Amino acid sequence: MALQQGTLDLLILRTLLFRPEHGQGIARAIQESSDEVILVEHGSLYPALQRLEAQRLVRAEWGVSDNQRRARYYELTSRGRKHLAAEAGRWRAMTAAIGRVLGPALAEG
Amino acid sequence: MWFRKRSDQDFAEEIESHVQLETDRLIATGVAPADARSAAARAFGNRTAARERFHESRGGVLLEQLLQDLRYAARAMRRTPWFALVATLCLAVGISVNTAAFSVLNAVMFRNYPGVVRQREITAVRIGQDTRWGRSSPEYASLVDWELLRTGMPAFSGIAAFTNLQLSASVKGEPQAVRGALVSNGYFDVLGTRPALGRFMTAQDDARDIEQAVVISHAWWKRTFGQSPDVIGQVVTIGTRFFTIIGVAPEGFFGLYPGEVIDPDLGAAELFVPLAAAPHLRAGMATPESPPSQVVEDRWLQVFGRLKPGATLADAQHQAGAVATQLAAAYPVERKNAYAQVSTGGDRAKDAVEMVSAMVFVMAVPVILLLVACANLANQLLARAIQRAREIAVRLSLGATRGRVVRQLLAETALLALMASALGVLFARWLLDGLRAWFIALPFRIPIDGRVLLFTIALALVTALAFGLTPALRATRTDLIGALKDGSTGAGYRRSRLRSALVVVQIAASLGLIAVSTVFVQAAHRPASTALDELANRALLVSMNLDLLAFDSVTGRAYQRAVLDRLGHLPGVAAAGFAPFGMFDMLSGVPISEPGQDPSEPRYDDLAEVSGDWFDATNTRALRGRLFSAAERAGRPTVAVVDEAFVRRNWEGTEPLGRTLRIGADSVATVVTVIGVVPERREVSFREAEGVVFIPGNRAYNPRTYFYIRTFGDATPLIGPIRAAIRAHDSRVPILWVRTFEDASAKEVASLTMLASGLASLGTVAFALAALGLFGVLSFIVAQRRHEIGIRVALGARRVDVTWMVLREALGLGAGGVLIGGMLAVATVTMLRALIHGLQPLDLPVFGAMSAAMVMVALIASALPARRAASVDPMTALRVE
Repeated sequence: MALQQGTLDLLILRTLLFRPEHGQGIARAIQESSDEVILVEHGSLYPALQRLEAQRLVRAEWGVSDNQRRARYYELTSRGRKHLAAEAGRWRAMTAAIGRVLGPALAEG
Repeated sequence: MWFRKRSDQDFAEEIESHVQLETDRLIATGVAPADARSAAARAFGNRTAARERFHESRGGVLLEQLLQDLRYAARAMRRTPWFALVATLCLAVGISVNTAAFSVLNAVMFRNYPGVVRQREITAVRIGQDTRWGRSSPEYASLVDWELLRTGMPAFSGIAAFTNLQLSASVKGEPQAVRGALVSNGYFDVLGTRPALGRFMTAQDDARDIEQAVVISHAWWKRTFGQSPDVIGQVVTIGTRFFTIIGVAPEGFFGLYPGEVIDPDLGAAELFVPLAAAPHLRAGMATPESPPSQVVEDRWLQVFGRLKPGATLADAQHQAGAVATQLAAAYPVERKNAYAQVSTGGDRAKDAVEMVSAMVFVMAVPVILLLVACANLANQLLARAIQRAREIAVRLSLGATRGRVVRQLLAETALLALMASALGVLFARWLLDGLRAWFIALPFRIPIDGRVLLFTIALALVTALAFGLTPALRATRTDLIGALKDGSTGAGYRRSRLRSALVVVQIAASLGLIAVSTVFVQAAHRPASTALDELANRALLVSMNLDLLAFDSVTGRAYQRAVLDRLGHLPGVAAAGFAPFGMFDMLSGVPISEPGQDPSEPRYDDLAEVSGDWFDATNTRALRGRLFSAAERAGRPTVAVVDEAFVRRNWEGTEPLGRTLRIGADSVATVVTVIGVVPERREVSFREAEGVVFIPGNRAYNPRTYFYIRTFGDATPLIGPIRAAIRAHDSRVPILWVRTFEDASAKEVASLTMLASGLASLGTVAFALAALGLFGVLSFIVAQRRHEIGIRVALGARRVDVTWMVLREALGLGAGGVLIGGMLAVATVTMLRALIHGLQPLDLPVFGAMSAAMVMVALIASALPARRAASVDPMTALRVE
């Protein structure tokens, strides 16, 4: 399942909420926590990270991974934290609203 | 930015680390290391694309691409330096013309005139009249109007009046003619001008106290007093009275009147004299003692005020309208249906229109040149685009987007245009200074400011876009496969209608230009007259204007007679006369009719009123009949002499002697009998009159006086004695100049000669440019058809037929160009002849020769490559690509 741009940004921010992570880790984390439903295309992951970095929602630093590989770690800024809180709230309100409009699942046909 | 810009290298490392981490993960889940590596790489996808996307999303990449484009453009230009040079020069010439015109507009419309404060508040007021024939254009104000306006305009914080006139002024020694202005007391106050030295007369000054005060211009201060601070309190003799200098105007100040555009003698004022002194300085002025109708009809003042803060132009219009109504009521005859008109900024809109139209007139030719240059440029660009079709196809197929390639091609034109605009600004500076020196009395050095630079750059870029976009779009719209497969021909020889049109435009414009310049060249290089040769250094012309001393007609006439008498008796003088016109002057048309003609529909002919021995002084002898006798010269005119042109035009084949002519309007007509015929003397005196009637100069007094003096030997040594003789009679009257005939005529035709030589060289440049462009483009077009010609020859076409086919097309283009060029030339020359008296009609032989030359160029340009193509072995031609 592909993602809309804003949605990917939101997922990335959420992934970074509790600890800094590198690109590959972020992609893995999203994939795993969505039960492999959401496949993060790398073609859009890095532009999204760059965008977030430019918007100062995340900051990045080179570090060393658990298995001693050099990797670029992304970390949520306080601005990013606030942004995430606001956006997540909006997202929940929106999906709830859309859910109410759609009503209970219908049998298609 | 708070975060460091990341390098591409840094990003590449991040991707590398991503793939490495993914590989590690896969190995950890049990995948074989070799498989894991490639699986991770596959999962990531196109790494190059990701890197590129990163690169492009970085800020400043547009700038980087632009720089890249420009670098590339510079490289392309270095490969074809001649093209770059010629194109830049052509565009620079065109741009400079436009920049110069815009600078004038800018200086006059948007900047304050020197020394004037917040000019947009200055409002000119004029009174006009509605007549039976419609609304008369607003005129100057009379003293009556001025008195009413002075008290009737509460919307103004201050109001002032002025007029410009020539004055005779002397500090010590000989009097000189100086441009002056009569100004009301509040003049400088209203303009907000501060004196460079001393003080100005202000609204608070009592008119009587400062009647004899004068303010001098900065330029005059510099010239006459060497900028000495002791100038305040010095006495200047103006006309016949003494004035004390009270102040110096700031540098460059000319008030609101920048001077006549064409006549530098009527330029900015140098002496500012109080209005109260007018009766002593203005000839023939209505005084308070004159009948009121005469005072109200003597209109000579320009009135302006400064709008109060909060007052609007509509307020001023309303109040001025009330004054006009008041006038109409007080003077029901002279001011019937009077109306008022106010205009903001003084009269600068009018000034701007005059100056720019004068410039455009002078620059019409460079503009045509620009057209030729641009057509040439566009054509060259088109040709280059086709030549580079393969290169472009390679770029496109390697993945460059079309937009990117177009941008690259446009960058080349933009670079050309920018170089041209830099050069163009330089040219414009020269052009403005040159125009100021030669043709147009631009009142001040026109600045090239930021607004002008912006205009120039915008113009250059628009030009680049306009002339670069089509070729660029065309070049990138190619069939890639075809272009790659067989290079040049694949890009398609298409019979380009655009290119043909450009060729036609080029021929037409350059021929039109040639036609116009030949007309001017002919006007300037008319065969020198034998009379002028004879008299060159053996006759003198003395120019004077008796209005400078405000002589009335009796005094003036007496002065002319007395000075003529003195001059006639000077040793070395063979003959002396005078007339109200100088060398190459234009005569004024006067209604002249013959008995039996309807006198209400007279012809307007040129009338020359000559006094003393004018004919003898100019070596003019009678071809038939005789010239004026002493008795006829003394009394009212009863006889006339006409020139050959007049006879030819009016009385071809009949006897001119003894005919009678009515000269002047019906009620005051002078009836004269023709007693003699003289040769055409237009080279000596008249600028291309179509027939002249000479009568003795007693009909009306004219303060403009030119003494014609023929001497026995070299005239130059007599200049001193002649000046002395004139001063001996009345030392107050300034002599404007004394020149030999040769110098006087050279001076008069100098600007025309300069214009002509300028036009001739521009015409030559345009012709060469067009010929060059034509040759290049046509030979290129034909060369592109090698392939087609090869096929035709292979299919059995004869070489002659093929060559002829190509030539026919070239002929078609040439004929089209000549046809349109001819129409253009005829139209332009007709328009010019209506504007400038004395231009000859289009010289058909010259035009024909030029047209033939252009067609020849077209033929040769096509024939050579066509023959070469036709004589190549068809197999080679087909295989060569």
